[in-house]
Amino acid sequence: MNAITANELISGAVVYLYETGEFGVDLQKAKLFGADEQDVRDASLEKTLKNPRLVSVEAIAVEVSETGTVWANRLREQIRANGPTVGGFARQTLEGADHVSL
Amino acid sequence: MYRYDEFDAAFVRQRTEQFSHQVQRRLSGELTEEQFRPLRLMNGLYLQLHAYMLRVAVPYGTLNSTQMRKLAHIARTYDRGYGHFTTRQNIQYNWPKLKDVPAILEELASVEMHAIQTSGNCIRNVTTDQFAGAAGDEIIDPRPVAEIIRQWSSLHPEFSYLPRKFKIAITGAPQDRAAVKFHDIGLMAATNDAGDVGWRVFVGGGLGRTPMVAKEISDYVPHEYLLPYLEAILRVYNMYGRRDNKYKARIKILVHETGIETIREQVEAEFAEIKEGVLKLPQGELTRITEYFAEPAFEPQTDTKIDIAQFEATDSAYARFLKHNLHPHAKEGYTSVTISLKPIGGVPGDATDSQMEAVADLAEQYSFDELRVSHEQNLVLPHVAIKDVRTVYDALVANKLQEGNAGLISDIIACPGLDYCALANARSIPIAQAISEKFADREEEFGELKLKISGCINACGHHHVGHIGILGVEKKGTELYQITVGGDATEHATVGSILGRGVTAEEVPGALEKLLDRYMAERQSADETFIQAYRRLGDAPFKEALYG
Repeated sequence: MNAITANELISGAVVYLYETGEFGVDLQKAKLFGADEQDVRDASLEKTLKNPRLVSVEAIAVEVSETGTVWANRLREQIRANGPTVGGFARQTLEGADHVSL
Repeated sequence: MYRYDEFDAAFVRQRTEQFSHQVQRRLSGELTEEQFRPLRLMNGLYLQLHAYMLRVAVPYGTLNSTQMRKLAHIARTYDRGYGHFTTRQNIQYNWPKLKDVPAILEELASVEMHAIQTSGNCIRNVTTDQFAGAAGDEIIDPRPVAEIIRQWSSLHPEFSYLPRKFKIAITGAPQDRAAVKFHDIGLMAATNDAGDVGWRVFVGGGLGRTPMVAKEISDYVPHEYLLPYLEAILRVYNMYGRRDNKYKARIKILVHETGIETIREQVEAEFAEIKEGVLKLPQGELTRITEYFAEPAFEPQTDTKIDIAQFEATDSAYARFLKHNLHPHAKEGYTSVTISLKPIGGVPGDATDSQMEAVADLAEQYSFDELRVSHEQNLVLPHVAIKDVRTVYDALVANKLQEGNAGLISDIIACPGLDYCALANARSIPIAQAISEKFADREEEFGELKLKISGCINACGHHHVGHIGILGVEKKGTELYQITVGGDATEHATVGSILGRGVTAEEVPGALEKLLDRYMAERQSADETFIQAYRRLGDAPFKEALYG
């Protein structure tokens, strides 16, 4: 499966495309694209690339556990989703909102 | 230290205003990211995994207390209360917000600092020996020439779009503490037959995916001709350096593919054209710049030595500090104090805002208001009177900066790795933490040992030149770590050799233990360091220890 991720322009925070069409910081709320939805995914990706408040847009591989938890396949994306594994620092938050509207 | 003149001040102010406007245009949507990206990079602003990262230049690693307090203020006000000192003697902030960056740059400009040319295909911050102007073995203080190079290279119109980034390091001492042979250009003070001091020039060194030791291109260039000589090298590089392949664009590849003899001929031809031109340095200008770096007002000292042995039984931590963190000073009764940013289990190179302020206070009170950042990611108080060392140490203890481990295995260079860096393949910091914790009780017995860790082949953690180097790679979704031995960043410049297949993160401390146990078993005496033993023994015993 895929999710669409980016960094928000002002804060640089990691965000994901939600089912609602908004972008927010919670991977668990990410819209997931199955293997048979590549056209939809690519259309969403294309639309996201045009959003001036989003940078470094890409589709990432994710999986869903039996309990429904979404997790990124690559360690890089796990770290982006959860923050640094050292130093006890929380992830970057969005500037003045909990989501970025499309 | 150097103080901005009107030109410098106007130059930095104009650049800050210009970038502020560029940020506003980006936020308003007038500039696309494609248009904005090169502009932000020219001002040291990267986008990393979690946030923006701002890299601030510390020219040749020299700071005063006012500047350090400003760095602390920025960490507290605009970031998360800490900064990360880097192998290029700079400081990086990991969490700034784009809208705040213009204000940060204004704050920096108010103390004569900036982030210009800390990224991009231009001439980067000139680095030097952290003990410059203080070291007992120094032939000449390299900082005036480093400053002249800074002025020459800042926004040089011809060299703003080089084939690739370009790094210059300079040392005034025969013992190379600035890794000059692993820079695009390395300068080492030299004396000619007449007894005049000038510069040996090395070209084509570097780390990254193709590590190379620089080759000597000139055995002596006088001060007055140094800028035209550097300009000639840059012109040859700008003309012939490869722009078709990013991975072959550094000058080291040009030197390797063309041959040092041909490069020398090309440089000499260019040099002959320009050597008597505007870049020829008048003695008056060198004298003017040198005056900024005048020796502090040292006073005669009665305390000229510290008997370390007297503390070994009663205060072993202080004895360790004295043994490892003091460096011989040119002036009797003084010493240079290394402030380790490598607490056991800590993040190499990180300092909190309060620690930065404490260090600024110490510099002001005990080191003639001077501070240095070392390429080994530590701080230095260059001029401390021997009689003040205990007071300085006690203040460091109060601020958790007292680790007496300079030059030992826990004094690790590590890049930010996959915890922060968008280019990394594997984490570096947790590996450094695990190693320093594992060997905290044994590092004294291992003696001098340079351990360097990179989270990808770009080698920001200098793993190629670690006595033991560790390179993180990703293989089928797993972090693996390749171990190299025998690297050396000093005047004996050597690229380490890979011992064999990579090991997992969990296996790294155990793998190092095998190497170190073998070293302990094989060394001829307690005085034979790891690198000396390696040079005598070669790879074989270490390969066998690791892989059987």
